[in-house]
Amino acid sequence: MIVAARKPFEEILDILGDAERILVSACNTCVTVCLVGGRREAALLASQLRIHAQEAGREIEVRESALERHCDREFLDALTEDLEWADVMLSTACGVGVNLVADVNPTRRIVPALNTTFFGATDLPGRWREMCGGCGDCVLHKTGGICPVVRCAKSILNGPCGGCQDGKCEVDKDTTCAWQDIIERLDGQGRSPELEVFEPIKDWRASHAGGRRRRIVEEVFAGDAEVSA
Amino acid sequence: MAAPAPNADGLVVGSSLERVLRAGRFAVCGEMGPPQSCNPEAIRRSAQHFLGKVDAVNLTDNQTAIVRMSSIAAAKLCIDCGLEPIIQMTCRDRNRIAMQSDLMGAAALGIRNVLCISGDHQCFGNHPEARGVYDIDSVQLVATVRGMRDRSELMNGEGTPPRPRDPSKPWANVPTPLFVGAAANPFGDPFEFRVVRLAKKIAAGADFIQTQAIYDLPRFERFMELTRDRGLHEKAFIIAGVLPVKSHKALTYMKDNVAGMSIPDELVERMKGAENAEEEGIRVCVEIIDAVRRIEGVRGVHIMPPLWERVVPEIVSRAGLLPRPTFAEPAEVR
Amino acid sequence: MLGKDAAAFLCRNSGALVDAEDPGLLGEAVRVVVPCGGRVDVLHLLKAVENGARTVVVVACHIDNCLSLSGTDEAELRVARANALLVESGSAARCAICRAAANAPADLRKALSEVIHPVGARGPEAEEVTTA
Repeated sequence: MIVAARKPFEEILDILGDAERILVSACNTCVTVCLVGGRREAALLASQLRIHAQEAGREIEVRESALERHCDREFLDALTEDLEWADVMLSTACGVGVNLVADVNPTRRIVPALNTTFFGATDLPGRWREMCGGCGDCVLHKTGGICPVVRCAKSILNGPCGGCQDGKCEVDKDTTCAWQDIIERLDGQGRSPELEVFEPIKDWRASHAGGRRRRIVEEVFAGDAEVSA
Repeated sequence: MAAPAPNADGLVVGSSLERVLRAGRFAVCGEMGPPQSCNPEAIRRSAQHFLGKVDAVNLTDNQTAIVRMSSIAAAKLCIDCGLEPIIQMTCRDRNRIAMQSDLMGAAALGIRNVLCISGDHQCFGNHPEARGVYDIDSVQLVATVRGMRDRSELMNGEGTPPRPRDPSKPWANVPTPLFVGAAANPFGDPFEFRVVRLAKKIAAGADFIQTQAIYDLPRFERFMELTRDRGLHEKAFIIAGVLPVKSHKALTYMKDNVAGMSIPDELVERMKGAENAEEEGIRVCVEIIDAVRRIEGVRGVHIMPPLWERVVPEIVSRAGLLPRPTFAEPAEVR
Repeated sequence: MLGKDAAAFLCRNSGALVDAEDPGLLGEAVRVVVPCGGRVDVLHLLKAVENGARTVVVVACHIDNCLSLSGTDEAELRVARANALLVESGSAARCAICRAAANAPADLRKALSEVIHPVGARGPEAEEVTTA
C-alpha cells in the first residue's frame, strides 16, 4: 500500500492559514491501513484543530468526511457539497488523492495533511517498510523477492557494496543490507550461482525519471491519453 | 571490433601502474584527497611527498560525500607535476552520460588509470539532503570502461536490447585508453560473498583491485586464500590497502564510524601504549606491508595516509620499496 | 478534588467498582464506564477535552489484573499519545492514567494524588492535571 506520515501540526496550521471552514477528508484504503489518514486519524486531526482554535480564541468550523478512496473519480462526487461550504479541504489521503481531487475540483483549495512516502507492506502490526520502488522494470524474480532499487540505499544491482557491516547498511544501523538478505535468500533456495550473473545497466525510462507515467486499457478507455480528467 | 591486442610488453594502456604490474614488480600506490576548494597549490604541495616514492597516486572522488575539487581536475594537476594519477569515480554523483563524458575527458587529459567504486552514501557528507544518482553500480561501471577501451563502445550498446551501432560516428573509432580498477573489501559482510563479488568485478573486466585498509591480517589472509582458490589472483592485480595512523584515536574512530573496517583491539592497545605514537604508527604500517607482501597473489600496496602525506617517503623507504622502477622510454601502446 | 470539568473513564472491573465504594474520590467528574481500560481510544480522550474537560483520567486495572491481558498497557500508550496530540495542539498534557483494584480504594486515592495537584498547592490553576 501507499504509506505516509502526518505532517507536523505546525506545518498544517501554516498551510491552513486563516481558513475558518475546514473540511477534513479521510480515505478508507491505504492510509487507513497504515493508521495515518483514515476516519479515526482524520477525526483526531479535526479534534486537534478545534482544540487549537479554542485555545487560541478563534472561531472555526471543522467538518469530517471519509471516502472509500480518493484515487478513483467515482467516489469523489460525495465531496461536492462539503467543498462548496469549505474554505479549504485538508486531505488525509495520500498525495495521489490530493492530486486527483484537486484536478477534479480545480477552483477549490485542496491541501495535504500528509507527507506521502513509500510503497510498503505491514510486515508487523504498527510497522510498514518500503518494499517497491515502482521502477517499472521489475527484477524481483532474480533477487528472491527483495527489491534492490529501494531496499538498497544505492540501488545497486550487483551488490553488496563495501559498507555492509554485521549485515547492516552503512546508512542506518537499523536497516539490514538488502544484498546480504538477497544472498541469504537465494542461498537458502539453492540459487547461489545466480548471484554470479552480471546484471546489466537498468533502463530507467520506465521509472519516474522518464516523466509522468500512465497506463491505459484500451478495451475500457478510448479517449485521449493526456487530456485532463 | 576486437579488443586491442597488448603490445610486446603485454601492455594495453601503458600507464606506469600497468607497466610496473605487468613487469612483475611489486607496485606502490599513494592517495590524495583533493582540497575542499579550487586551490591548485594544495595538489602541487601534496604531490611533492609522492614523487619518486610511488608508481601512481589515487585522487579520491568527493570522498565521504564531502564536496572537494574533482578527481579529474586534481589528476591533471598531478600530471603537470610529473606524478601519475589514478582517478576515482563513484556512482553516487553522476549518471551514465556524465560518467562516459568524464571518462573521455580524463583520457583526453592524459589520465590513464581509473578506480570504479560505489561511493560513500551522501548521508555521510556535507550535503546529506542531496539526491544520490546511482544510475549504475560499480560493477557496471567497470564493464563500461572496458567497453569504451576494448570495443570503442558506449553503454547504450549493453544491457538494453541490442541496437545497431552507426559506424559513421567519428568517436566510434577511438578507444578510450584506461587501466581499470575496482575496490574490494575483505572485511565487509557477508565474508564469503566478498570473494564472489570480487570475481564478478574481475569478470566484468577489472584489471586491478585495491582493497580496503588492512589491519586484520588473519582475515585478509583468509580472503586471499579464497581468492586464490578461484584463480582470481591471476586474472587481476590485487593491491593491498594500508592506512598509517598516528594515534589510537584514529583507529578507534574508524572502528566505530567507518563501515566495512575490521580493527583488532590489540592494535588499538598497542597504539595507546606507545611512547611515540607517530613512530609506532609508521612501524605498524611497515609491518603490515611486510606481511601482505608475503601473501601469494598480492601484487602491490596502496598507501592511504589521511592528512599525513609527508609520512609516505619514510614508510616506503623502511618497507624496502625504494627505488621505484622507472622506464626509459614512454610505452608505445598504439 | 475533581470538578465538573473533569472526565473519568472507568474500567468496569476496577475503576467503576472503586468509584461505587467511594464516590468522593472522583468528585464531580463526568464518568464514562468502559468494559476495559483498553477500550478507551485516543479519540475519546481528545473529544473529552474538545468538549471542555480540563482533566481526563482513565482508571484501569493494575497491569497483571487486566482481564483482557493487555488492556491497561494499551490504555497507557493511548494516554501518552493523547497528551502528545494535545500538547501539539497548543493545549496541555491533560490526560492521566491511574491503576486501581476494586478492593483497594486507597490505591486510587494515592494514584490520583500523584497526578493531580491539590487545590491551593499552586494557586487556582492547580486543579489542572499535570503529568510530567
